[in-house]
Amino acid sequence: MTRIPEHATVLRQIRSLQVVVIHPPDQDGDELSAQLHRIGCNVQTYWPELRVLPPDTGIVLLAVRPETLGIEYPWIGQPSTPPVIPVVTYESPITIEAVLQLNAFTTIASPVRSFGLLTAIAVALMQHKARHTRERYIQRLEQKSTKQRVVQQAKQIMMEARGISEDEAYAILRSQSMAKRSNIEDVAHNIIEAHKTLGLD
Amino acid sequence: MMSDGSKPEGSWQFRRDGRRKGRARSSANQRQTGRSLEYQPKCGRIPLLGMPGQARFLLELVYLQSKLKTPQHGAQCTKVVHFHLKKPRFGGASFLALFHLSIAMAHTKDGPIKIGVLYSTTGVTSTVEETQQRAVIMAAEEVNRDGGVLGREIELLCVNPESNPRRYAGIAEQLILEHDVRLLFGCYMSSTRKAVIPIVERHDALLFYATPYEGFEYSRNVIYAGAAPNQNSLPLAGFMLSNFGSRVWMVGSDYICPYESNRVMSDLILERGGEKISETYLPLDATWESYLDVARRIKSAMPDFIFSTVVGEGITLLHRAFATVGLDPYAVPIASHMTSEAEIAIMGADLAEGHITCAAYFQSVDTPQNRHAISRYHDRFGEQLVTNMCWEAAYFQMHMLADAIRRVGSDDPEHLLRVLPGLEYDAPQGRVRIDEHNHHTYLRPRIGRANAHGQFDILVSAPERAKADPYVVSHSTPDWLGTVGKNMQGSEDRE
Repeated sequence: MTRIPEHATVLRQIRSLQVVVIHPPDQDGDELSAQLHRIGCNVQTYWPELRVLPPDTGIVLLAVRPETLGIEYPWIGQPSTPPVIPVVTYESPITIEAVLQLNAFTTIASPVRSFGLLTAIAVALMQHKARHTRERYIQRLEQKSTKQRVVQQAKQIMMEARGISEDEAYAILRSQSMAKRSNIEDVAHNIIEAHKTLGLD
Repeated sequence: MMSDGSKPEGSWQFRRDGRRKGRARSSANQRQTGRSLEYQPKCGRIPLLGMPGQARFLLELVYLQSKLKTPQHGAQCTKVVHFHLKKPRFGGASFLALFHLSIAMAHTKDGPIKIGVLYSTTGVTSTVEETQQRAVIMAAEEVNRDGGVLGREIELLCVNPESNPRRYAGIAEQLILEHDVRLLFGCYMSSTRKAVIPIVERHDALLFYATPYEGFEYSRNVIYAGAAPNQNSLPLAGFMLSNFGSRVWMVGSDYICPYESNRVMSDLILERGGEKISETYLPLDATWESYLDVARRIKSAMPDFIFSTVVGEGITLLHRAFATVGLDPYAVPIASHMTSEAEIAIMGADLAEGHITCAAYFQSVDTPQNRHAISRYHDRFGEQLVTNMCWEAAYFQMHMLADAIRRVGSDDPEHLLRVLPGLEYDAPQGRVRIDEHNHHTYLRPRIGRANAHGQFDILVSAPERAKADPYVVSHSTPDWLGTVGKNMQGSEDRE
């Protein structure tokens, strides 16, 4: 995985961030809003339900409380879901389970203090980006390894059918792909399919 | 202890009549408390009987009213403190009442030791909270009668937060900021405690919490005297599963404490290969019809027992619904760690008989301390009143606080925190101890079955007090339950 030189950009982004706060208007809720305003974020507050996330939401602060365990937020767990920071009042197993389901990188503990919120947002944003990059990287790796498996299988078929070496089999695959102007994986795939159709295995 | 003979003109009751109009239990409560807490407007003081001649301890009960309240009492009082509400969000409330109780002492060097008391006298959980309020009043009077602490009197400022978490927080802060209070008693439901904790932490105050709760909490500014799940849910679950079977119907009020209790119970059922038939939650203000519906469903499912974590007014409704559909408590009992003598007094002994409760204290606990405390309670507040687990916890916490103040020579929370952890006291339930590390209290769990007199026959007691373990996620049943056997009709030998 490549190092992302994004630490600085994440911090700079925070002031232009669209923050959605889903929290009751109590002392914690007031403190959250006030500190977000001090930091310079754009804050939109909702409670208790929010069916659709506003566009351009950069981060969500979500109160996780016993009374909200039944509420469903349909936008959670989607590929496009922005990072969610749970704001927790209870540390009981049921609440912790609810927090774990959010795939959060950090939490804000009640009573909310002004100190710690900025760091939490930075950590969540940074880790969210890193997770995104990591997922794309893993996806590419998986595709690559699938292709390699196909080529390997095609080579095996040719080696057994014609009694040739691995290098010779690969040379044939390469010349075929160049002649047909297609990917070596596609050629390999065709060979495997043809082999299956002929029922030679 | 009241001087009935010298009852002056214009004396008035603790509770105004109109407030509870329409509530099922209003007449019962007035009957219980009306005699005891009366106010003499002319002198503002009610002399307590049985006082030593020289030290004239006087009970002063001043009713502090908000501006919006009816003025007729206030106008006659010699000492009325108006409790102005500055914050607009509380200002709209029409009946924030502050009871101010102080027992004047002959010679006090310093001012009184002020203690804020946040127990709701209205709202869904007021039945038990009122008993807790009476318990701290009684304990404070006992302390003052013995000369107070450090030559200072204890002064209680009792406020009614109306079972509303936001009012608990607002009132707690107001008492601290405007009335110089740093020691608080009270809170009942977890939501109310959670609302007050940030306040006591911010202002370095102490909260004495005397109610069983779901655990998973520690604040250095809270002393917990109610049972943690390992001191009530766990013994109860173990007892019921061993003696009645493991097909369980769970019904609870819709909030955190029942969720946690049911989680513990579900684990233990699963461990034994039992069956959780249903886990039903009803809102705190659920109607009679919804309880009746649950009772009908329970009857058709016929579980081995019902595990109830219903609180407040719902407890009566559940028991009445249970009886209405014709369920037999001796065949399918309701097991609870919330149903106490206080709720039974409201619903009537006939509805409660046969059902099972786990608590660290029952009125029937036979210790000298308990006998004396009950007798003083009856003298002070009325013969017909019953005690309960929350009453006892609030009572012994007040005495432990007084003891701690004596030991450190200060009522400053920082100093008190040096001696409260590790402190022991001979409470009505037996000797209790505040744990040094988690601020919870060692208690002695007991299983009781409600009898025809609204009291509990104790079926089994833990052999010794149990350390509270508020952070235990995965429970195992305590050994002492293994000795019960099937002999549950008789009660345990008295200590």
